[in-house]
Amino acid sequence: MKLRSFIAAPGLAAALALSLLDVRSASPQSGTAPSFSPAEIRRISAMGPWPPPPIRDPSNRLSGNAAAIALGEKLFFDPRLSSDGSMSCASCHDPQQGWADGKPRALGRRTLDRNTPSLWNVGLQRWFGWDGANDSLWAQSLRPILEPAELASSEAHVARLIRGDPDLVCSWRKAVGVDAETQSDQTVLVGVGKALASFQETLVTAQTPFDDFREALLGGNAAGTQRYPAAARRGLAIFVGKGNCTACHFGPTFSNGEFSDTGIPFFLEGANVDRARYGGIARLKASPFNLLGIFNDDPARSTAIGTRHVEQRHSNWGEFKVPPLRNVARSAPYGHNGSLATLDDVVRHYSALDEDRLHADGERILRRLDLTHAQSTDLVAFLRSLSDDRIWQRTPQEPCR
Amino acid sequence: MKSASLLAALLLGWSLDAAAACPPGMSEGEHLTGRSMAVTWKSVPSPVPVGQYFRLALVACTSAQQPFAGTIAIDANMPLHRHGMNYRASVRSQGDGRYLAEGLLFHMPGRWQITIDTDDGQQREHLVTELEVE
Repeated sequence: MKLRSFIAAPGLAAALALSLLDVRSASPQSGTAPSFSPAEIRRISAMGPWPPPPIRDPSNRLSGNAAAIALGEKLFFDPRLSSDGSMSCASCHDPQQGWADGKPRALGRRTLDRNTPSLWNVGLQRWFGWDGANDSLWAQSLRPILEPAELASSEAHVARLIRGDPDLVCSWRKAVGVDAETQSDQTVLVGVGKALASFQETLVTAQTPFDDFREALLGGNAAGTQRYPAAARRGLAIFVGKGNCTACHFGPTFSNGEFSDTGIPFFLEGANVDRARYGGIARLKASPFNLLGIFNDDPARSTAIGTRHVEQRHSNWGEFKVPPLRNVARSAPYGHNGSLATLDDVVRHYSALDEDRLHADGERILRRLDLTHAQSTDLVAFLRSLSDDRIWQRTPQEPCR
Repeated sequence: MKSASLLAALLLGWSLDAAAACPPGMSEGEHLTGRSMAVTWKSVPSPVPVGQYFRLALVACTSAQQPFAGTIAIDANMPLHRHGMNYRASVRSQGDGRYLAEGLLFHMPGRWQITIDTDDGQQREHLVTELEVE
């Protein structure tokens, strides 16, 4: 069924013709750029287009609201959200570090158990956090504010800040449409989460060398495809071919948005284990801020379908979110516990995967890739081509009037 | 697809009228025929997308040409990978043999097997179909 739709897709015929020309001129074994099969071209086609349309979240009435985006940006960098004024969202999600922190494990009021995920393209995700314990970006934004080991704040503290600072009072009125004085502490807290989310939805990566190649390939532009480095092209061939990376990393964000056990240990310090997706589902179901609750602004609950139907399974132990890969070269280290320092380490992990360490209940998906050194280098070159070189800069902050 | 379904129904001993008329009300979709009933299903959207939620619209009727009125359960798995979905689909009756399944998501490309289990209190059927998603 899908094949018919792809054949009808604009550009596929041109891409196939270009691929056939490539067959005559090069082969994967020759060390030059490889060609792609029709199935591989369909997978490459599905990795775009990019950038996506503006992100809008129906569960968040502040989504896409310019005043809320400005307020969210102010709050994101404001350490007064934390209980002692020592920490802001940007303390861990640093724009100069790919909206992460560059550390293996996040440093809150102590060293935390997991790696700080990048916020690039975070608005396109289905589940939030390594364990998917939240089903909306606004609910996820509340988690570190209330977490004792992070901002250690409270509804009352956040509400006092919003009501007590003249600039925030004015910004709130513009963004939310009512005075925070008239709202409960909990409603103000949720509004802060929604403003933070509306700002984070704007963190979208730019077009990359891979996107240029994809467009050239689908457009039958041979000269355009030649501008893509041969090593990256060989790495792409591994990604969509032998590596079977597209089993999980597919689509424009290079993630299926779900969870997987990739053999990275989930043991914590002491005798504890990270409950991973198993624990995440339990927390999701118990959260008053999930999409089935009263704070969802969408009466139809149109984005709550997953929350309604997800359920714990034994196989969720050891499963962590499949990370999106755009700008992956700018957000090292990798893995839920940051144990893989570089992209070379990530590729090495899959190349020499210890299948006995998978807690997969008999699943047969991941296999050690046994890549050569040259193949590993090519795969890393492809992963690097998924990153842009955009420098994010803060919007000049004007006093609210 | 439909002629294959008709042949299967005839081989199972259904009357020609029952096989031709059943299931009613849905001209497009895949037909599955069991011992005591038949189901026509189609996905919304169609084809089934990978990595996105989708629904299944079903019409079910008995071999006596009556709209099915029992319960239907839907599940799916990837036989080669030995795993199922991360979600438990819900199925609700819309009357007159029509059912709507929600909460399905195929999180990997490849071959998926959909199972449709029916129970009218007297007979149970286990229908299976396979499809490739990418």
